[in-house]
Amino acid sequence: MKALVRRGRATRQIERRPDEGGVTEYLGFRVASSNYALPVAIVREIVRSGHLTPVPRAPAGVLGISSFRGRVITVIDLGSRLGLASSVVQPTAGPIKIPKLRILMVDIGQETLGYLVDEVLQVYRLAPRDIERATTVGTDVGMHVTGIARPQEGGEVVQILDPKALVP
Amino acid sequence: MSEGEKGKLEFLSEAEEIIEALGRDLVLLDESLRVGPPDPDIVNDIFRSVHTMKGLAGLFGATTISQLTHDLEAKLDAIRLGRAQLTPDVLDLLFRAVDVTHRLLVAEQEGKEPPVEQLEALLQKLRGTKRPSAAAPASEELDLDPSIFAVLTEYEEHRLRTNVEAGLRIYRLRVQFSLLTIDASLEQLKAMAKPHGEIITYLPTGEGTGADSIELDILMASKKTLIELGELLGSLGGTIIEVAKRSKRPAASPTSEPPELPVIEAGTSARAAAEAAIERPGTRPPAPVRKEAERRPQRTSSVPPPDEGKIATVRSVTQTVRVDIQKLDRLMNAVSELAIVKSSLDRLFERIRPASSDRRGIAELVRLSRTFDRQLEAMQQGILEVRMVPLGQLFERLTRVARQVGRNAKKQFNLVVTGAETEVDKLIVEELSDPLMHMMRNAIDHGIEPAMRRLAAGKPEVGTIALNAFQKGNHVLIELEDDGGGIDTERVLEVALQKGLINPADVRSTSRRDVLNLIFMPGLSTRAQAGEISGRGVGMDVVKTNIAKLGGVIDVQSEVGIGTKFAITLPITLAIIRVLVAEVEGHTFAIPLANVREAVQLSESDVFTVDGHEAMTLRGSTLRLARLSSIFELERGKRAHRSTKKFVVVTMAGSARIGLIVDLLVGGQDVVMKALGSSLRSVRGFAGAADLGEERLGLVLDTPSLYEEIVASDRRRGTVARPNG
Repeated sequence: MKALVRRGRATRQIERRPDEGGVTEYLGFRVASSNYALPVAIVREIVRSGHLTPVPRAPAGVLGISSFRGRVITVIDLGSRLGLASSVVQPTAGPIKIPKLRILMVDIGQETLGYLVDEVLQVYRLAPRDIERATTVGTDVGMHVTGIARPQEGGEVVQILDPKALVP
Repeated sequence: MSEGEKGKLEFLSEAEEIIEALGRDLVLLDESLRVGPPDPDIVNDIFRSVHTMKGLAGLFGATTISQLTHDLEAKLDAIRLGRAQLTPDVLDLLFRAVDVTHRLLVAEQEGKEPPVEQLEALLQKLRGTKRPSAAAPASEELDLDPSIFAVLTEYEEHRLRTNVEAGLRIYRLRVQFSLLTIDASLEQLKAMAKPHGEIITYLPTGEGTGADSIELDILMASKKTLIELGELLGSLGGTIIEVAKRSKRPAASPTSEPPELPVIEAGTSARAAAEAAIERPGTRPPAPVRKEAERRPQRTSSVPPPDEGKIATVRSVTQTVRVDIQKLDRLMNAVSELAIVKSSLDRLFERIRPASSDRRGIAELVRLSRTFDRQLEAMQQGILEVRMVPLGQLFERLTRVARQVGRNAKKQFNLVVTGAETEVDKLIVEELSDPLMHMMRNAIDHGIEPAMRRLAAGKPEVGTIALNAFQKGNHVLIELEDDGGGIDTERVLEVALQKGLINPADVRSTSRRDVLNLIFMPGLSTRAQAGEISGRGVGMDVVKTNIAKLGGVIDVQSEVGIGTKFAITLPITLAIIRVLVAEVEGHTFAIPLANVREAVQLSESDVFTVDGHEAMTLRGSTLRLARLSSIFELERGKRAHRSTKKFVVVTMAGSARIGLIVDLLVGGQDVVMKALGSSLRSVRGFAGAADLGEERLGLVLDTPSLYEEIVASDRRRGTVARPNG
């Protein structure tokens, strides 16, 4: 029997708009009940997670590879990369199916990497003054966080991630 | 991409092409130099290429390149004009200049500092070796209308003189050309003249021409006699006059009396011309020609006109488009996406079909679907073909390197290249370049012995290196063979022991083949001192890895005193390979069929243990077994195949074989293999991934590297298992 399996379909293409007056757009998402954000400019697309083929011997945090627009993309569990709880309980064998999570296709250096996140939130428009530098914040943020923003008054904080620190 | 970057890319790719052409021409020049004086056409081509390069570099603002090409151009101009001699040393300098230009280009590309020292040294040499020529002007030797001499360029005058010195006859042709076809006619004339001479110049006479035609005076050098030339050029019409050499007949006709010379009205029979010549004793043509003309007068009178079609092809311009390989990749991906859409459509159709009563509509859909499939396949095939390039370009580069290396190492050898027309995927050619260069250097540096030692060993003084390529089924074989000293397996073993690459206890049981294969281990170099030539950072281990990445296999054979032969087997295209799909603990793997010898069923009772590892007997010989589940540490999956029946896939790594144990054989499949992302570069054992259908990726095993890994772990285990002995 042939199961009808859908590959990750683009839920939406992100429009890139030029910065307006120092304002940068960040895409917010949730990983292990914390909010994070990456510059929209480097996020190619958000896709539903499709078939993942695990890669034996891959570095920790690598969930596997997936075919995306004809290319082989390495998919990374952002939760475990950040040292948080993993977004997925990895089955012992076979292609992993993750029905509700999202994969962010992010351009890092020459490669496009897929980052598995629990949920995509929204796009924040932040000016530099909205972002608190990570060095001035306490020690409880990891190396991969460059700054912290509070987009809504009294709302939840969003940690801005350093894309370079995300490579497995 | 910004305009600037685009411009840079265009400059780089065009410059690269020019360098390729330059390299080719220099090799040709080298060859022509061995048989006689340099072919002026090649010198000119080189001059023109350098000139174009200079212009390009200037336009792009690549100052170092334009500086170098400027000096190189001046040098070539001097050679072209006969002001400088084209000695082997000068040729070497030219080779080096092209090499440095390439380096400058690479530096430009990578935004690095150019190799200034090399450049300075080269510039000095280029400027330093000019030698003025003291040859007398040709006008004093030749009986030629001074008005023509006045308009000859320095280059033309030089060519004229060179031809006279070489003993060629000089002819003056006066021909009417139709303005409509003049370009084609001149090309035709050049093509005809080329085999036995050269056209030095053509000048409009400015006489007796109609509105749509032009009369040209053509000055031509040829080995042919006037009569032979008349036969050849008969179809042109017009007159041919031989220009006498004054030095040979000092007292003969002065310049003002050209009618003294034999004149052929082209189109009249050669015999008539010969008779005309006989009537004027003491003038040309000389006696032997007359004899010949008399011997076969019938034939000469019925010379067919030159084959127009044949000559027309000489000037047929190839129509090519340069395409970035990444664009082709994108196209290929788009086609793969199309195939995916198509299969979704098919599934949808199958679902709707039973509910539909429109039988004609269904039939039409089926027909359309088949057409679609065919076109899709044609498209895929088309893209693959576009990616194919002949190995020739790479081989030419290798020839250049070989020449240079040979000179530096003072080794004498002939390089015999066959199969340069063999086509492989462009990407493979690129990736193959470094490994082959390295192997070539090795062959010259370590393979071919110095002449004295060759003679002492009773071998020909000059060595031979053969570079052969040929297609074999879906594969391309590239062989590099030398008749040098061969690999000293004793020495290899000694070094391997020193470096701990092999366990002393295993030495006696290690076969000769295994020892030879040790040269592919990292860190093994049998030369005490890495030579300037071969010590360039890449060892044979890198060669092997690079080739494995292409899905290829390298094998070595060597006999001491006889020579060494490397054979590289490669898939023709990276894009599509045939694989055997197998399952292990629920994971799907693809094994390139190129590496599969056979697959047999395994019953666990056949397995026995040798030296701490599993093996079985297959066709009378022992086959080392390895379980993929333990190599990859795969946990027992819930969905894993439960049967106790397993299979052994006998894979080849060079000439060695190993049996990989899998749970299930799914079948053979043609797949598009893709590289894993650079984030997974450190993961060994996989050559890439392939879409196995239904958008599931399967990992493609890199069997040669798995084999090595297994052998290496056996060695390590051997050390542990036998501490006392």
